[in-house]
Amino acid sequence: MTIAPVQVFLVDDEAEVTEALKWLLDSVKIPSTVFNSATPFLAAVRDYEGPLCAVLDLRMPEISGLELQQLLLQQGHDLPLIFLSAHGDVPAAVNAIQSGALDFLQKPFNPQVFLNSVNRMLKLARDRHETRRRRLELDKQLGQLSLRESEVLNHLVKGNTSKEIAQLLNISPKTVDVHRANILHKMQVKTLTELRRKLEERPAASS
Amino acid sequence: MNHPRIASAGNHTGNNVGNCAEALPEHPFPSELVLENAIVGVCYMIERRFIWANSRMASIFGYEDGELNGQPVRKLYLNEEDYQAVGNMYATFAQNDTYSHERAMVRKDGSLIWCLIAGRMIDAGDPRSPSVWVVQDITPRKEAEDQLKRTNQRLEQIVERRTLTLRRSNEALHVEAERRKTMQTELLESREKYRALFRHIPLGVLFTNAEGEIVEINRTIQSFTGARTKRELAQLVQDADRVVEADGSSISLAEFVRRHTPRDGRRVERCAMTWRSISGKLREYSIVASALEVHDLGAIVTFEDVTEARLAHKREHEQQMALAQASRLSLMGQMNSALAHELGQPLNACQSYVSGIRHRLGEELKDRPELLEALDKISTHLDQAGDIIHNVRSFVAQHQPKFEAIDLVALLRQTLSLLDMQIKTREVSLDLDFEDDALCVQANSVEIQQVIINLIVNALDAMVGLPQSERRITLRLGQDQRGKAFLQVSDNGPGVPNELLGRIFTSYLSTKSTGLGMGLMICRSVIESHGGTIRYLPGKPSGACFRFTLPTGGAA
Repeated sequence: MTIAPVQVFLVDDEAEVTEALKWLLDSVKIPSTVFNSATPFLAAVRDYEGPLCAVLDLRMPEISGLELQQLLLQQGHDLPLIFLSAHGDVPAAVNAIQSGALDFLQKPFNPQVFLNSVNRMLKLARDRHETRRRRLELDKQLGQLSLRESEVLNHLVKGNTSKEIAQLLNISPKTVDVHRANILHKMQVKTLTELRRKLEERPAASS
Repeated sequence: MNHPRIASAGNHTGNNVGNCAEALPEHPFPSELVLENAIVGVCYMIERRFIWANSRMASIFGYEDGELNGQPVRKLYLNEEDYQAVGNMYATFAQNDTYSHERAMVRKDGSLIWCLIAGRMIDAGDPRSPSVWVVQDITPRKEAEDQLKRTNQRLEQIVERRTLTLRRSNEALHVEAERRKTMQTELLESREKYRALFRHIPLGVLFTNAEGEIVEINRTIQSFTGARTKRELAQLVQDADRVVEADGSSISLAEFVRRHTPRDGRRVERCAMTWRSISGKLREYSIVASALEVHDLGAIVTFEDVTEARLAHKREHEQQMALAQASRLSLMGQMNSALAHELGQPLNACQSYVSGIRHRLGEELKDRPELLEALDKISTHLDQAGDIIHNVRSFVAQHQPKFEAIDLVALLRQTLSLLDMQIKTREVSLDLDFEDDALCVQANSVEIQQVIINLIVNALDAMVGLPQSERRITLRLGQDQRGKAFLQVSDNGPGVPNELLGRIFTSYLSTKSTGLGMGLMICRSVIESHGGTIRYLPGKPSGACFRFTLPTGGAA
């Protein structure tokens, strides 16, 4: 399974700024794409499946960075964001951070500060992407279990022994063991402990 | 019963006419003679025909003696109607014994004659019985009566006319009396009104005589002098320390009034007066002295206290100055802010490129210390420039004007009243298209007002070359689909040339010979700092249209 490379989307109506930032990111081998307005950016976010993060200018003619942030949240995209501003917008900065933005930089900013910020954002993007990927995989594996296997899994997770499960489901302990072997195989784990850990991580991932 | 009398009468008439004289000695009654000489007409009739009529009877009607005998009575009647009317009476008067009436009849020659006629039936009760009639000529009496009646009528007419004339003059007299009464009431009212006015009007009023001496002063003047009694007032009026002249010297009110009473043919004189009260406080009055053309009076002088108005005017002026100051400060802040914004972008790009170069060259730079040093210096200078911008920005941020809820409609109207003179002198017509009566936005009114002024003045300037009928500015104000307030300023000017479209809000670009090219840049900076946007739309069919939005209600 190929993993899509991490991407930084640069969104600013000032083309000079986005071009320069892209050049800077290129020099440290961070792939980025430039957008000078909101609509193509939103479309690209919807279509991109790999780890993604974005640098948004606070003030753009069509739609402000803050409005864009709200739109992304409404559409269920949790990509990490950094805001740029050419003004002293302190209230807007507070607002952006409160809504989950990672950083807020005032132009002109130190490029190293920007790169550090982008790196933190990339790590977060990869983590979120990995979590999402694992959750999808787990959901897929659970989907492969038969109805009976799901029942057995339910009891196994509660800590019941094969004997107890056989009694509860009115089947032989041997059959329970077969189910158990199949479950471990389908969930791609070796031990019951490993399976439990894998399932326990799930609620955290779905948040 | 009466029958024998007829027979005897017949006897007399027929046979004894000639024997009258002979009968005298025996004193017989000479009935025929008597009848013949009676001074009234007498006749004997059967079936409405004369059997016998005396000579008087004949002469009354203009006939010869005896001519009537045997004639029907009809010929004496004026008409058939009268004849029948009397004929109809027979049945009645036959029973009532006698009949008498006055009637106009006709003589033989056709002339009219008034007669008193009295008749009696020989046999009462039989309408067909023979009858005796006595006739008197009453024409003179009738004429006299007529004369009397006419005179009487004339008299009555005269009396009536006189009465009418009298009544009319009486009515006129009454009306006149009413008029006088009303006039008197009006005069009284007018006098009362004048008195009330003179006493209570919040305007000082005094009258002078022809020599300019004060003859009457109203209460308002007394109260502003502070006098409690008439005597005090009289003293204060003559006090040479009360009216302060422009040069600081003082004179009395009496002298002041004398000096300012209009003379030499002038009708009205206006001036100002400063009054020093006993406590030393100064009050200012606006004076109007008007000459009076009334016997013995010189002028009416009014005193209006303008102290408060002057103070208010002064305060208003100070407020305007403060506003202008705030506006200048705000303009400076906005210019700085715009500058910081404009410089920040290219500076940022430079820093990014320098940093990119470092990363790209990486290890190579270690072998090229002179390049590394140059890059370090570039970075240091760029950082310095960046620091300056940050400093300017934080200075502006510290002096950031406060945002508050303001009504954009009211602000626009207020701004238009500021620009009223300019719009009128340029002869530009205004079209207002407001969707709402009030539209609340979170903004700083001084800054937004500047933006509006900027856009309208730009529109005015853009239409200088147009004929007056085409000089028109349209202002649209409302809320867009996203709930933001918008204001659109459109003109009929030439619009923005295509090649300049991308730069109008950013560079120091001006199409005006005297322009600095900062107006639209500041507009953009202001609007964006409010969380709004400003855009240029080409006008339809020509001209420019600038539209800005502002967040409504909530925090900007």
